[in-house]
Amino acid sequence: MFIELTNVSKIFRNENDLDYQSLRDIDLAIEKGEFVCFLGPSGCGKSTLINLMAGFDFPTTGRILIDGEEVSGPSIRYVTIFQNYGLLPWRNVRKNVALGLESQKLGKRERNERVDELIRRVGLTNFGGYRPHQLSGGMQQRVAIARALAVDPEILFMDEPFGSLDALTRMAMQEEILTLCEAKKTTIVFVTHDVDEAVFLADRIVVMTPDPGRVRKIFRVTLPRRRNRASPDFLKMRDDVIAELDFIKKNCS
Amino acid sequence: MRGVFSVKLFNVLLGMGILFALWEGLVLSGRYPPALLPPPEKVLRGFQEIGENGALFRHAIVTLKRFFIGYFASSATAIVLGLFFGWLTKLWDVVEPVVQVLRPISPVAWYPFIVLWFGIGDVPATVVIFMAGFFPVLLSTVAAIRLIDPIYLKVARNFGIKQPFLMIKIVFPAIFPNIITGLHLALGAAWIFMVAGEMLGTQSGLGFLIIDSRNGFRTDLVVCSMITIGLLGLALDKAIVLFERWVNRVWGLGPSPEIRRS
Repeated sequence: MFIELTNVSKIFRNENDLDYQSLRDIDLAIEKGEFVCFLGPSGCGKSTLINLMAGFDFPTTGRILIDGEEVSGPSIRYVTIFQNYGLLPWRNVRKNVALGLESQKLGKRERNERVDELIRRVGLTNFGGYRPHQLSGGMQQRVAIARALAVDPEILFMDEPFGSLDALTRMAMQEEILTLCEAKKTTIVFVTHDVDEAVFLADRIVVMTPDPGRVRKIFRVTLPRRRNRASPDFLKMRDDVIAELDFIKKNCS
Repeated sequence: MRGVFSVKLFNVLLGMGILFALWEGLVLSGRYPPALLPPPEKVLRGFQEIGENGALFRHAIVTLKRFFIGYFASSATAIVLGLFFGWLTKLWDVVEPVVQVLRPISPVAWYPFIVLWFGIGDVPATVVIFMAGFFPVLLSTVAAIRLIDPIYLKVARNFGIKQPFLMIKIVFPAIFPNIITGLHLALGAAWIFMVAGEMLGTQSGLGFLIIDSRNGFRTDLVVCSMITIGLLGLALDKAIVLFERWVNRVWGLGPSPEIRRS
Protein backbone atom coordinates (compact mmCIF):
# COMPACT_ATOMS: atom_id res chain seq x y z
CA MET A 1 0.00 0.00 0.00
CA PHE A 2 1.17 3.48 -0.86
CA ILE A 3 -0.47 5.52 1.88
CA GLU A 4 -1.25 3.59 5.03
CA LEU A 5 -3.16 4.94 8.02
CA THR A 6 -3.24 2.76 11.12
CA ASN A 7 -5.35 3.67 14.14
CA VAL A 8 -4.98 7.40 13.49
CA SER A 9 -6.52 9.68 16.11
CA LYS A 10 -6.13 13.41 16.56
CA ILE A 11 -7.00 15.35 19.68
CA PHE A 12 -6.80 19.12 19.78
CA ARG A 13 -6.45 20.92 23.08
CA ASN A 14 -7.98 24.40 23.20
CA GLU A 15 -6.82 27.31 25.37
CA ASN A 16 -9.15 26.24 28.22
CA ASP A 17 -7.34 22.89 28.31
CA LEU A 18 -10.40 21.14 26.96
CA ASP A 19 -9.73 18.27 24.62
CA TYR A 20 -11.56 17.92 21.38
CA GLN A 21 -11.30 14.67 19.50
CA SER A 22 -11.18 15.49 15.83
CA LEU A 23 -10.38 12.00 14.51
CA ARG A 24 -10.76 8.55 16.04
CA ASP A 25 -9.21 5.29 14.92
CA ILE A 26 -8.89 5.88 11.21
CA ASP A 27 -7.65 2.81 9.35
CA LEU A 28 -7.23 3.16 5.66
CA ALA A 29 -4.95 2.16 2.83
CA ILE A 30 -4.63 4.05 -0.42
CA GLU A 31 -3.04 2.51 -3.48
CA LYS A 32 -0.57 4.14 -5.81
CA GLY A 33 -2.37 5.97 -8.61
CA GLU A 34 -5.69 5.90 -6.82
CA PHE A 35 -8.08 8.84 -6.65
CA VAL A 36 -9.67 8.89 -3.17
CA CYS A 37 -12.28 11.42 -2.10
CA PHE A 38 -13.03 12.15 1.53
CA LEU A 39 -16.62 13.24 1.85
CA GLY A 40 -18.60 14.30 4.87
CA PRO A 41 -20.35 17.11 6.70
CA SER A 42 -18.27 19.91 8.17
CA GLY A 43 -16.61 18.93 11.42
CA CYS A 44 -15.99 15.34 10.34
CA GLY A 45 -12.24 15.90 10.42
CA LYS A 46 -11.59 15.42 6.70
CA SER A 47 -9.40 18.52 6.45
CA THR A 48 -7.56 17.53 9.63
CA LEU A 49 -6.92 14.13 8.12
CA ILE A 50 -5.48 15.51 4.89
CA ASN A 51 -3.30 17.88 6.96
CA LEU A 52 -1.88 14.88 8.82
CA MET A 53 -1.20 12.95 5.63
CA ALA A 54 0.48 15.97 4.06
CA GLY A 55 2.73 16.29 7.10
CA PHE A 56 1.59 19.74 8.30
CA ASP A 57 0.46 18.23 11.60
CA PHE A 58 0.93 14.94 13.42
CA PRO A 59 -1.53 12.36 14.72
CA THR A 60 -2.00 12.11 18.48
CA THR A 61 -1.92 8.33 18.24
CA GLY A 62 -1.52 5.90 15.40
CA ARG A 63 0.73 6.27 12.41
CA ILE A 64 0.73 7.31 8.80
CA LEU A 65 3.09 5.71 6.31
CA ILE A 66 3.73 6.95 2.82
CA ASP A 67 5.69 4.58 0.59
CA GLY A 68 6.67 2.64 3.71
CA GLU A 69 8.05 5.62 5.60
CA GLU A 70 6.43 7.41 8.50
CA VAL A 71 5.36 10.96 7.56
CA SER A 72 7.65 13.35 9.41
CA GLY A 73 6.74 16.63 7.73
CA PRO A 74 5.76 18.12 4.39
CA SER A 75 7.76 16.96 1.42
CA ILE A 76 8.11 18.16 -2.13
CA ARG A 77 7.16 14.60 -3.16
CA TYR A 78 3.57 15.27 -2.16
CA VAL A 79 2.11 18.68 -2.78
CA THR A 80 -1.01 20.17 -1.20
CA ILE A 81 -3.49 22.35 -3.07
CA PHE A 82 -5.59 24.63 -0.90
CA GLN A 83 -9.05 26.06 -1.33
CA ASN A 84 -7.70 29.62 -1.28
CA TYR A 85 -4.91 28.70 -3.72
CA GLY A 86 -1.92 29.86 -1.63
CA LEU A 87 -0.40 31.82 -4.50
CA LEU A 88 2.19 34.49 -3.75
CA PRO A 89 0.47 37.76 -4.70
CA TRP A 90 3.73 39.63 -5.36
CA ARG A 91 4.84 37.09 -7.97
CA ASN A 92 3.39 36.81 -11.44
CA VAL A 93 2.03 33.54 -12.82
CA ARG A 94 5.40 32.36 -14.21
CA LYS A 95 7.25 33.04 -10.97
CA ASN A 96 4.53 31.38 -8.92
CA VAL A 97 4.79 28.25 -11.04
CA ALA A 98 8.59 28.35 -10.74
CA LEU A 99 8.51 28.47 -6.92
CA GLY A 100 8.95 24.76 -6.28
CA LEU A 101 11.66 24.48 -8.95
CA GLU A 102 13.84 27.11 -7.30
CA SER A 103 15.01 24.83 -4.52
CA GLN A 104 15.91 22.13 -7.03
CA LYS A 105 19.11 21.90 -9.00
CA LEU A 106 17.89 22.97 -12.41
CA GLY A 107 19.48 25.12 -15.06
CA LYS A 108 17.81 28.41 -15.83
CA ARG A 109 16.84 27.30 -19.32
CA GLU A 110 15.54 23.97 -18.14
CA ARG A 111 13.46 25.68 -15.47
CA ASN A 112 12.01 28.17 -17.95
CA GLU A 113 11.06 25.38 -20.34
CA ARG A 114 9.37 23.48 -17.54
CA VAL A 115 7.41 26.56 -16.46
CA ASP A 116 6.33 27.27 -20.05
CA GLU A 117 5.23 23.69 -20.52
CA LEU A 118 3.09 23.70 -17.35
CA ILE A 119 1.53 27.07 -18.04
CA ARG A 120 0.59 25.73 -21.46
CA ARG A 121 -0.88 22.55 -20.00
CA VAL A 122 -3.21 24.50 -17.71
CA GLY A 123 -4.14 26.83 -20.57
CA LEU A 124 -2.60 30.04 -19.24
CA THR A 125 0.03 30.63 -21.92
CA ASN A 126 -1.00 34.24 -22.45
CA PHE A 127 -1.15 35.05 -18.75
CA GLY A 128 2.44 34.36 -17.65
CA GLY A 129 3.02 37.99 -16.71
CA TYR A 130 -0.22 38.46 -14.79
CA ARG A 131 -0.36 38.63 -11.04
CA PRO A 132 -2.80 36.41 -9.13
CA HIS A 133 -5.20 39.23 -8.25
CA GLN A 134 -5.67 39.95 -11.94
CA LEU A 135 -7.01 36.44 -12.54
CA SER A 136 -10.35 34.77 -11.83
CA GLY A 137 -10.62 32.11 -9.11
CA GLY A 138 -10.52 29.26 -11.61
CA MET A 139 -7.41 30.65 -13.26
CA GLN A 140 -5.73 31.13 -9.88
CA GLN A 141 -6.40 27.51 -8.97
CA ARG A 142 -4.95 26.44 -12.33
CA VAL A 143 -1.79 28.35 -11.43
CA ALA A 144 -1.65 26.49 -8.11
CA ILE A 145 -2.10 23.17 -9.92
CA ALA A 146 0.63 24.05 -12.43
CA ARG A 147 2.93 25.00 -9.55
CA ALA A 148 2.24 21.65 -7.88
CA LEU A 149 2.70 19.58 -11.04
CA ALA A 150 5.94 21.41 -11.87
CA VAL A 151 7.78 19.43 -9.20
CA ASP A 152 6.35 16.12 -10.43
CA PRO A 153 4.75 15.07 -7.14
CA GLU A 154 3.82 11.47 -6.44
CA ILE A 155 0.73 12.56 -4.50
CA LEU A 156 -1.55 15.57 -4.75
CA PHE A 157 -3.41 16.44 -1.57
CA MET A 158 -6.36 18.62 -2.50
CA ASP A 159 -8.30 20.26 0.33
CA GLU A 160 -11.63 21.42 -1.13
CA PRO A 161 -9.71 22.92 -4.04
CA PHE A 162 -12.74 23.95 -6.05
CA GLY A 163 -14.85 24.98 -3.05
CA SER A 164 -14.91 28.67 -3.83
CA LEU A 165 -15.49 28.39 -7.58
CA ASP A 166 -18.81 28.80 -9.35
CA ALA A 167 -20.58 25.62 -10.53
CA LEU A 168 -19.54 25.79 -14.18
CA THR A 169 -15.90 26.58 -13.50
CA ARG A 170 -15.91 23.84 -10.90
CA MET A 171 -17.06 21.21 -13.40
CA ALA A 172 -14.48 22.36 -15.92
CA MET A 173 -11.76 22.12 -13.28
CA GLN A 174 -12.84 18.60 -12.34
CA GLU A 175 -12.38 17.48 -15.93
CA GLU A 176 -9.08 19.29 -16.11
CA ILE A 177 -7.54 17.74 -13.03
CA LEU A 178 -8.34 14.28 -14.39
CA THR A 179 -6.76 15.08 -17.75
CA LEU A 180 -3.68 16.63 -16.15
CA CYS A 181 -3.00 13.69 -13.88
CA GLU A 182 -3.97 10.93 -16.30
CA ALA A 183 -0.57 10.40 -17.94
CA LYS A 184 1.52 10.14 -14.75
CA LYS A 185 -1.21 8.38 -12.75
CA THR A 186 -0.59 10.72 -9.82
CA THR A 187 -2.16 9.54 -6.58
CA ILE A 188 -4.79 12.06 -5.53
CA VAL A 189 -6.32 12.51 -2.08
CA PHE A 190 -9.21 14.91 -2.36
CA VAL A 191 -11.42 16.47 0.31
CA THR A 192 -14.86 17.72 -0.64
CA HIS A 193 -18.38 18.15 0.66
CA ASP A 194 -19.86 18.00 -2.83
CA VAL A 195 -21.34 14.56 -3.62
CA ASP A 196 -21.35 15.13 -7.40
CA GLU A 197 -17.71 16.07 -7.32
CA ALA A 198 -16.80 12.94 -5.39
CA VAL A 199 -18.76 10.61 -7.68
CA PHE A 200 -17.32 12.27 -10.78
CA LEU A 201 -13.70 12.10 -9.64
CA ALA A 202 -13.12 9.25 -7.24
CA ASP A 203 -12.08 5.64 -7.53
CA ARG A 204 -13.18 5.35 -3.92
CA ILE A 205 -15.30 7.65 -1.78
CA VAL A 206 -14.59 7.62 1.96
CA VAL A 207 -17.68 8.88 3.78
CA MET A 208 -16.90 10.29 7.21
CA THR A 209 -19.04 11.09 10.25
CA PRO A 210 -18.40 13.91 12.72
CA ASP A 211 -17.84 14.09 16.52
CA PRO A 212 -15.39 12.46 16.51
CA GLY A 213 -14.38 12.05 12.88
CA ARG A 214 -14.52 8.43 11.80
CA VAL A 215 -14.81 6.50 8.59
CA ARG A 216 -18.43 5.59 8.12
CA LYS A 217 -18.40 3.79 4.80
CA ILE A 218 -16.26 3.40 1.71
CA PHE A 219 -17.85 3.35 -1.74
CA ARG A 220 -15.96 2.00 -4.72
CA VAL A 221 -16.94 3.89 -7.87
CA THR A 222 -16.62 1.51 -10.80
CA LEU A 223 -18.15 3.77 -13.45
CA PRO A 224 -15.89 4.03 -16.48
CA ARG A 225 -13.86 7.24 -16.82
CA ARG A 226 -15.16 10.28 -18.70
CA ARG A 227 -18.16 9.85 -16.47
CA ASN A 228 -21.45 11.20 -17.67
CA ARG A 229 -23.07 13.16 -14.87
CA ALA A 230 -26.55 12.49 -16.30
CA SER A 231 -26.22 8.73 -16.80
CA PRO A 232 -28.47 6.45 -14.71
CA ASP A 233 -25.46 4.70 -13.15
CA PHE A 234 -23.96 8.02 -12.09
CA LEU A 235 -27.25 9.12 -10.55
CA LYS A 236 -27.69 5.79 -8.82
CA MET A 237 -24.24 6.06 -7.24
CA ARG A 238 -24.96 9.62 -6.26
CA ASP A 239 -28.24 8.62 -4.60
CA ASP A 240 -26.51 5.86 -2.65
CA VAL A 241 -23.93 8.28 -1.31
CA ILE A 242 -26.55 10.89 -0.47
CA ALA A 243 -28.60 8.26 1.36
CA GLU A 244 -25.56 7.46 3.48
CA LEU A 245 -25.01 11.15 4.27
CA ASP A 246 -28.68 11.56 5.16
CA PHE A 247 -28.35 8.66 7.52
CA ILE A 248 -25.40 10.37 9.20
CA LYS A 249 -27.34 13.60 9.46
CA LYS A 250 -30.34 11.93 11.12
CA ASN A 251 -28.26 9.94 13.56
CA CYS A 252 -25.81 12.61 14.56
CA SER A 253 -28.04 15.59 15.21
CA MET B 1 -11.31 64.11 -11.50
CA ARG B 2 -10.45 67.60 -12.74
CA GLY B 3 -13.16 69.03 -10.53
CA VAL B 4 -11.69 67.31 -7.47
CA PHE B 5 -8.24 68.55 -8.37
CA SER B 6 -9.29 72.18 -8.74
CA VAL B 7 -11.19 72.05 -5.44
CA LYS B 8 -8.03 70.72 -3.78
CA LEU B 9 -5.88 73.41 -5.35
CA PHE B 10 -8.37 76.06 -4.27
CA ASN B 11 -8.25 74.79 -0.66
CA VAL B 12 -4.45 74.82 -0.65
CA LEU B 13 -4.35 78.38 -1.99
CA LEU B 14 -7.07 79.47 0.43
CA GLY B 15 -5.25 78.04 3.47
CA MET B 16 -1.93 79.52 2.43
CA GLY B 17 -3.60 82.85 1.64
CA ILE B 18 -5.15 83.07 5.12
CA LEU B 19 -1.81 82.21 6.74
CA PHE B 20 -0.02 84.94 4.79
CA ALA B 21 -2.79 87.46 5.47
CA LEU B 22 -2.57 86.80 9.23
CA TRP B 23 1.21 87.02 9.12
CA GLU B 24 1.20 90.26 7.12
CA GLY B 25 -1.56 91.64 9.38
CA LEU B 26 0.49 91.01 12.53
CA VAL B 27 3.50 92.64 10.90
CA LEU B 28 1.43 95.67 9.81
CA SER B 29 -0.02 96.06 13.31
CA GLY B 30 3.49 97.27 14.17
CA ARG B 31 3.49 95.63 17.58
CA TYR B 32 6.35 93.25 16.89
CA PRO B 33 9.81 94.36 15.79
CA PRO B 34 10.97 92.75 12.48
CA ALA B 35 13.67 90.77 14.33
CA LEU B 36 10.98 88.92 16.31
CA LEU B 37 8.57 88.59 13.41
CA PRO B 38 10.23 88.95 10.01
CA PRO B 39 7.73 90.22 7.42
CA PRO B 40 6.89 87.97 4.47
CA GLU B 41 8.58 90.19 1.93
CA LYS B 42 11.81 90.11 3.93
CA VAL B 43 11.63 86.30 4.01
CA LEU B 44 11.13 86.30 0.25
CA ARG B 45 14.22 88.48 -0.18
CA GLY B 46 16.03 86.10 2.16
CA PHE B 47 15.10 83.22 -0.16
CA GLN B 48 16.46 85.24 -3.05
CA GLU B 49 19.71 85.95 -1.18
CA ILE B 50 20.54 82.38 -0.08
CA GLY B 51 19.12 81.03 -3.31
CA GLU B 52 21.45 83.14 -5.42
CA ASN B 53 24.57 82.57 -3.35
CA GLY B 54 23.86 78.83 -3.37
CA ALA B 55 23.79 78.43 0.41
CA LEU B 56 20.22 77.11 0.55
CA PHE B 57 20.83 74.51 -2.13
CA ARG B 58 24.14 73.44 -0.60
CA HIS B 59 22.68 72.97 2.88
CA ALA B 60 19.56 71.26 1.56
CA ILE B 61 21.65 68.74 -0.39
CA VAL B 62 23.77 67.98 2.66
CA THR B 63 20.63 67.46 4.73
CA LEU B 64 18.98 65.19 2.17
CA LYS B 65 22.13 63.14 1.77
CA ARG B 66 22.48 62.66 5.52
CA PHE B 67 18.80 61.95 5.79
CA PHE B 68 18.74 59.24 3.14
CA ILE B 69 21.87 57.55 4.49
CA GLY B 70 20.47 57.56 8.03
CA TYR B 71 16.97 56.58 7.01
CA PHE B 72 17.89 53.73 4.67
CA ALA B 73 20.55 52.32 7.01
CA SER B 74 18.03 52.50 9.84
CA SER B 75 15.18 50.90 7.87
CA ALA B 76 17.38 48.10 6.56
CA THR B 77 18.76 47.30 10.02
CA ALA B 78 15.33 47.48 11.61
CA ILE B 79 13.77 45.20 8.99
CA VAL B 80 16.52 42.57 9.30
CA LEU B 81 16.33 42.63 13.10
CA GLY B 82 12.54 42.74 12.97
CA LEU B 83 12.42 39.62 10.78
CA PHE B 84 14.82 37.91 13.17
CA PHE B 85 13.00 38.85 16.38
CA GLY B 86 9.56 38.42 14.85
CA TRP B 87 10.45 34.90 13.80
CA LEU B 88 12.04 33.89 17.12
CA THR B 89 9.07 34.82 19.29
CA LYS B 90 10.65 33.55 22.52
CA LEU B 91 13.66 35.79 21.96
CA TRP B 92 11.38 38.74 21.22
CA ASP B 93 9.58 38.20 24.52
CA VAL B 94 12.93 38.92 26.21
CA VAL B 95 13.93 41.79 23.93
CA GLU B 96 10.57 43.55 23.85
CA PRO B 97 10.66 45.02 27.41
CA VAL B 98 14.06 46.53 26.65
CA VAL B 99 12.77 47.99 23.37
CA GLN B 100 9.70 49.41 25.11
CA VAL B 101 11.94 51.28 27.59
CA LEU B 102 14.37 52.53 24.94
CA ARG B 103 11.70 53.60 22.49
CA PRO B 104 10.28 56.60 24.40
CA ILE B 105 13.77 58.09 24.87
CA SER B 106 14.20 60.83 22.31
CA PRO B 107 17.22 60.27 20.06
CA VAL B 108 18.36 63.74 21.12
CA ALA B 109 18.67 62.53 24.72
CA TRP B 110 21.44 60.24 23.51
CA TYR B 111 23.33 63.21 22.17
CA PRO B 112 26.07 63.39 24.83
CA PHE B 113 26.91 59.75 24.19
CA ILE B 114 26.58 60.08 20.45
CA VAL B 115 29.22 62.81 20.50
CA LEU B 116 31.47 60.83 22.82
CA TRP B 117 31.19 57.72 20.67
CA PHE B 118 31.05 59.17 17.19
CA GLY B 119 32.78 62.54 17.58
CA ILE B 120 31.49 65.62 15.80
CA GLY B 121 30.79 66.28 12.14
CA ASP B 122 28.47 64.39 9.84
CA VAL B 123 28.04 61.23 11.85
CA PRO B 124 26.14 62.41 14.97
CA ALA B 125 23.31 63.94 12.93
CA THR B 126 23.08 60.78 10.85
CA VAL B 127 22.97 58.68 14.01
CA VAL B 128 20.08 60.77 15.36
CA ILE B 129 18.18 60.21 12.09
CA PHE B 130 18.99 56.50 12.29
CA MET B 131 17.63 56.24 15.83
CA ALA B 132 14.48 58.20 15.08
CA GLY B 133 13.54 55.87 12.25
CA PHE B 134 14.60 52.63 13.88
CA PHE B 135 11.84 51.70 16.32
CA PRO B 136 8.76 52.30 14.13
CA VAL B 137 10.20 49.97 11.47
CA LEU B 138 11.38 47.35 13.98
CA LEU B 139 8.02 47.20 15.74
CA SER B 140 5.94 47.13 12.57
CA THR B 141 8.10 44.32 11.15
CA VAL B 142 7.77 42.21 14.30
CA ALA B 143 4.02 42.86 14.42
CA ALA B 144 3.63 42.04 10.73
CA ILE B 145 5.31 38.64 11.05
CA ARG B 146 2.79 37.62 13.68
CA LEU B 147 -0.03 38.41 11.25
CA ILE B 148 1.44 36.58 8.26
CA ASP B 149 -1.06 34.32 6.54
CA PRO B 150 -0.01 30.79 7.60
CA ILE B 151 -0.77 29.47 4.11
CA TYR B 152 2.44 31.11 2.81
CA LEU B 153 4.47 29.19 5.37
CA LYS B 154 2.67 25.96 4.53
CA VAL B 155 3.39 26.42 0.83
CA ALA B 156 7.02 27.23 1.59
CA ARG B 157 7.43 24.12 3.79
CA ASN B 158 5.71 22.02 1.15
CA PHE B 159 8.17 23.13 -1.52
CA GLY B 160 11.16 22.67 0.76
CA ILE B 161 12.11 26.35 0.98
CA LYS B 162 14.57 26.69 3.88
CA GLN B 163 16.19 29.62 5.65
CA PRO B 164 17.46 32.11 4.62
CA PHE B 165 15.33 31.78 1.47
CA LEU B 166 12.18 31.39 3.53
CA MET B 167 12.76 34.91 4.89
CA ILE B 168 13.91 36.45 1.63
CA LYS B 169 11.46 34.84 -0.78
CA ILE B 170 8.37 34.34 1.34
CA VAL B 171 8.18 36.10 4.71
CA PHE B 172 9.64 39.48 3.77
CA PRO B 173 7.58 40.01 0.60
CA ALA B 174 4.46 38.63 2.29
CA ILE B 175 4.60 41.21 5.08
CA PHE B 176 6.10 44.07 3.08
CA PRO B 177 2.78 45.93 2.65
CA ASN B 178 2.51 45.97 6.46
CA ILE B 179 6.10 47.06 6.97
CA ILE B 180 5.48 50.13 4.82
CA THR B 181 3.25 51.57 7.54
CA GLY B 182 6.31 51.56 9.78
CA LEU B 183 8.51 52.96 7.02
CA HIS B 184 6.04 55.81 6.61
CA LEU B 185 5.99 56.61 10.34
CA ALA B 186 9.77 56.36 10.47
CA LEU B 187 10.15 58.79 7.58
CA GLY B 188 8.19 61.46 9.43
CA ALA B 189 9.96 60.90 12.75
CA ALA B 190 13.42 60.82 11.14
CA TRP B 191 12.75 64.05 9.23
CA ILE B 192 11.63 65.85 12.40
CA PHE B 193 14.65 64.69 14.40
CA MET B 194 16.99 65.43 11.53
CA VAL B 195 16.68 69.17 12.30
CA ALA B 196 17.48 68.62 15.97
CA GLY B 197 20.43 66.45 15.03
CA GLU B 198 21.83 69.09 12.71
CA MET B 199 21.48 71.80 15.33
CA LEU B 200 23.89 69.97 17.57
CA GLY B 201 27.47 70.30 16.47
CA THR B 202 27.28 70.06 12.69
CA GLN B 203 28.61 72.74 10.40
CA SER B 204 26.21 72.20 7.51
CA GLY B 205 22.62 71.29 6.68
CA LEU B 206 19.29 73.04 7.13
CA GLY B 207 19.34 72.59 10.92
CA PHE B 208 22.74 74.24 11.02
CA LEU B 209 21.46 77.00 8.75
CA ILE B 210 18.80 77.83 11.35
CA ILE B 211 21.37 78.06 14.15
CA ASP B 212 23.80 79.98 11.97
CA SER B 213 21.13 82.49 10.87
CA ARG B 214 20.02 83.00 14.47
CA ASN B 215 23.61 83.69 15.50
CA GLY B 216 23.76 86.35 12.78
CA PHE B 217 20.37 87.80 13.93
CA ARG B 218 18.89 86.87 10.56
CA THR B 219 15.45 85.62 11.65
CA ASP B 220 14.27 86.02 8.06
CA LEU B 221 16.73 83.30 7.05
CA VAL B 222 15.55 81.16 9.99
CA VAL B 223 12.07 81.27 8.49
CA CYS B 224 13.50 80.47 5.03
CA SER B 225 15.12 77.33 6.44
CA MET B 226 11.93 76.35 8.27
CA ILE B 227 9.83 76.70 5.14
CA THR B 228 12.36 74.66 3.14
CA ILE B 229 12.29 71.91 5.78
CA GLY B 230 8.49 71.88 5.67
CA LEU B 231 8.31 71.69 1.89
CA LEU B 232 10.97 68.97 1.59
CA GLY B 233 9.28 66.97 4.37
CA LEU B 234 5.98 67.26 2.54
CA ALA B 235 7.58 66.08 -0.71
CA LEU B 236 9.12 63.05 1.05
CA ASP B 237 5.76 62.18 2.58
CA LYS B 238 4.03 62.41 -0.79
CA ALA B 239 6.73 60.22 -2.30
CA ILE B 240 6.26 57.44 0.24
CA VAL B 241 2.48 57.62 -0.15
CA LEU B 242 2.98 57.03 -3.90
CA PHE B 243 5.32 54.14 -3.11
CA GLU B 244 2.74 52.67 -0.72
CA ARG B 245 0.06 52.85 -3.41
CA TRP B 246 2.35 51.23 -5.94
CA VAL B 247 3.10 48.34 -3.58
CA ASN B 248 -0.57 47.85 -2.81
CA ARG B 249 -1.32 47.74 -6.51
CA VAL B 250 1.41 45.20 -7.25
CA TRP B 251 0.38 43.04 -4.27
CA GLY B 252 -3.24 43.30 -5.36
CA LEU B 253 -4.39 44.97 -2.15
CA GLY B 254 -5.76 48.08 -3.79
CA PRO B 255 -9.48 48.74 -4.20
CA SER B 256 -11.41 47.12 -7.08
CA PRO B 257 -8.79 44.99 -8.80
CA GLU B 258 -9.50 44.20 -12.44
CA ILE B 259 -10.95 40.70 -12.61
CA ARG B 260 -10.57 38.49 -15.63
CA ARG B 261 -13.01 35.73 -16.44
CA SER B 262 -11.67 32.26 -17.17
